[in-house]
Amino acid sequence: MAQPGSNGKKKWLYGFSPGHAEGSAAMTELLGGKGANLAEMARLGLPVPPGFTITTEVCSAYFAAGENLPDALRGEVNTALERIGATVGAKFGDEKMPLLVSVRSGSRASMPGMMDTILNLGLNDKTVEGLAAITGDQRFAFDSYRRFIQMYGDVVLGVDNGVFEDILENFKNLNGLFRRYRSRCRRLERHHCRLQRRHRA
Amino acid sequence: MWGAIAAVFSSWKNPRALSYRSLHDIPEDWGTAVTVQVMVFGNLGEQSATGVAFTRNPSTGENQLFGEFLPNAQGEDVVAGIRTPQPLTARGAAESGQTSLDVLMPDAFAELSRIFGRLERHYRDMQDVEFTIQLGKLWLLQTRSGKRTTEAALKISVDMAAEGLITRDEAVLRVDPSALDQLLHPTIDSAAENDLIAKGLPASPGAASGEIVFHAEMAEALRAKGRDVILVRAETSPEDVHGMHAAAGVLTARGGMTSHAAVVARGMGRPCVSGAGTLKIDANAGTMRAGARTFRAGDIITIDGGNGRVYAGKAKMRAPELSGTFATIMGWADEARRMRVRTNADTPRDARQARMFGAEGIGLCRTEHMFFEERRILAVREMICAEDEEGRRQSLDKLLPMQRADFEELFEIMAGLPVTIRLLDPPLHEFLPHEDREAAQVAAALGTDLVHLKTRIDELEEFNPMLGFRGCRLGIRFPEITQMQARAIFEGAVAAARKTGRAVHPEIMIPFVAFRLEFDILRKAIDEVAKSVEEESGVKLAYLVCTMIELPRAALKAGEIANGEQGADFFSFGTNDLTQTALGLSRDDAAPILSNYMERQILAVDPFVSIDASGVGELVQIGSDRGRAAKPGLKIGICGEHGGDPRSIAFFEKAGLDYVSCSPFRVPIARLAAAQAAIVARKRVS
Repeated sequence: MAQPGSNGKKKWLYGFSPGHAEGSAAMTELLGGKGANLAEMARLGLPVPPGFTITTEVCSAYFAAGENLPDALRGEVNTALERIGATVGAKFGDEKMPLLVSVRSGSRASMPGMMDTILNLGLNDKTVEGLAAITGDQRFAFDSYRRFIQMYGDVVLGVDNGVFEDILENFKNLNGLFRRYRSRCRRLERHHCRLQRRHRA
Repeated sequence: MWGAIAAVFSSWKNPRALSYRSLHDIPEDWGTAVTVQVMVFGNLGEQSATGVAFTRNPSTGENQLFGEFLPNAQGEDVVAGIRTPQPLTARGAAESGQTSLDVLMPDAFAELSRIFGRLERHYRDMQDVEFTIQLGKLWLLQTRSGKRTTEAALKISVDMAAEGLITRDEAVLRVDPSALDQLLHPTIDSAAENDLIAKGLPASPGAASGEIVFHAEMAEALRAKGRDVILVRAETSPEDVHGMHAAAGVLTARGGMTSHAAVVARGMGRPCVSGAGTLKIDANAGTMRAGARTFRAGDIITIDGGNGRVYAGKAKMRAPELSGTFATIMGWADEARRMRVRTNADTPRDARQARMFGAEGIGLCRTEHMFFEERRILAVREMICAEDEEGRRQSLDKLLPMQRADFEELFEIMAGLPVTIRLLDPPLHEFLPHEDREAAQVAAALGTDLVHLKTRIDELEEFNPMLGFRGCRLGIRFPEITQMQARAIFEGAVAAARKTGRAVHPEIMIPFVAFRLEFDILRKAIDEVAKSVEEESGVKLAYLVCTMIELPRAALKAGEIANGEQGADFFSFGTNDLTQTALGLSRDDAAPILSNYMERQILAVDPFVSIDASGVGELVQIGSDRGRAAKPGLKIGICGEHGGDPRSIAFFEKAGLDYVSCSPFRVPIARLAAAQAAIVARKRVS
């Protein structure tokens, strides 16, 4: 079971990165199926994105405290975030090299799609520019930000997903119009070129 | 960050998760862990992708990498079934004309294949892996033992044993006995002509026919009325799970082999066709269009989850195939198990079916079921309503040849195997006429008037028939009933032995015994009949007389009941009645009480489905121990519904019983469960 941490209390958080893991496949009770097997794969040296798993014991403590996370966890999470950020040369909240993470649930039994997931955590109005710069893909960066806002709004703030879907549908309609307009421009341009070539000939 | 972690913990208690856990018996206090991981992106252009893969085919079990991916997409897009994904290998792509991953990104594919080999060798099981390729670099996001169909579970177990990855015992342990049920059921008769309307993906095998429903709620409502429905959706989401559970099959227009519909249906053992893209489904209008044809809610369709075809109307079904990997695993199971598996069978049809499924004899033949047949019920009613022994004997004489023929046929089918026949058990009132027309018929046959007959019927009414005039109490009051049944059994045995040339060893079981003297009285009556049949036929009879242990007193006094030459030759625990009498809970009235008790967590499982091992189980243990102390090596079996329940079978193995007996369709389940229990027990010892 849980080994006591450095300050004598239970260990709340188990880190992993390729070639190294504090947890293992045998620890599904504590780390959930997903967390335990990610640790196992990391041990085997397989390419898993670096991360950490917060134990099911914290879940019990969270509900016992009326849906409040233990304060002492905060420091551990921050340290762990710095550690995994360092492995990829990024930092949580950094405008140039923002660390982006996924936050997923994982219980002992598989419960596909039943609980919530948040992706692209770490994006905000500033870091999204950083992501666009790193990837050289503005469309990708803002699509990721859109996905994040949608998930965060739905999962954390409890905003009805339908609101986003409506906005998105409208946006896509506009986008479609825009695309059609652009392709028409391109066709005109090609036509223009052909005409020019013919003139030269 | 903080808010996200809290929100994911909170989602452990969202309504969807709560209902999923109650459906799958997952305890509330397990809780969830939260994993925070560096993001990798599958949507960074054409050299990026995301996918789901199985190290072997989860539908057929073939040893071939199997899965789907979406180029330039995030992981959630594959599972959500919004875009229809592409296959990983060229073999899978041939049919659909899509580009496969091994063609599109050969390096990433090669690495994926290598890693799969490594994962299988490490976990020694088929894995279900989520992966993302970010700018050509492969990342693994999850691995777990893959869900699979029963067919695939059998093939993977047999193959892995052949590959030396696992032992035969492990192969036997890998197959869920309850899931065998799926294999024992029909598929569509390929020879028959069916009206094909669409083709989708073979997402979960098996065939099903039913009325079209477009909403999960409707599926549940109609199922509650006993109707078969096919849930038809554009795509399914976790909100549809209860409707999928109620449906006989699931059909979707969108989504791949790893879409929500496909994964959940396979887990439940429901046939499913997914991604039937030519269907236009409008749930609000209640229509499904296939080309020019329009189907509405209530129209009957058939789906074949084995090949992805959808037909209009009800298709002709074919009996299941019991050879191949099924036979191999069952063979290994039979080598591994210690307990014998018999069947509960009252009719030749049941007996034949059970033999096909590998039953090693009949553990319970309920003679009363033979009495309900239309031709016979009048004679039975005459017998019950007769006012004196003479009247009863006349009616019993009519029944004797019928019963003899029944037993003779059962003995023939079970040639060389033990057959246990229970003497008449149920309360007599169950046979009584309830309608005036029927009563008049009986009155006429008995030559008495209706008023007189009705008085007689009133006399036989009981306040609590379950604890009333039934079981051995019938034979003690009316010995001629026992005599007739014993004669029918012995004469049937003599006739069957002459026909088959193999000696028959009938086992006669006396029900509802509480006192040794009850057993003695009936045993004496049976022995006397045996003697006279031996004299008449000139054949020496080898038979056993046993008792059913189904009252707490019988379990406690088991030593006394088994003691000596004239004591019971063996025991069969009737755990249905033993549960009723030990808990003081009538099975017919139990449903609302049990659901309340399970809600309040007084009980974890229905004690009529899985034996209450700590209470009723202790009575079984006491009965076995005391019986065997009085008569070393006493043969002991069980013939309640629990005989086909894997959890109960594990208990009976520990309790040291010699055999279990269950309904024919549960015989393969019991064979496998008994093997697993024996393997686990051996492991514990070593």
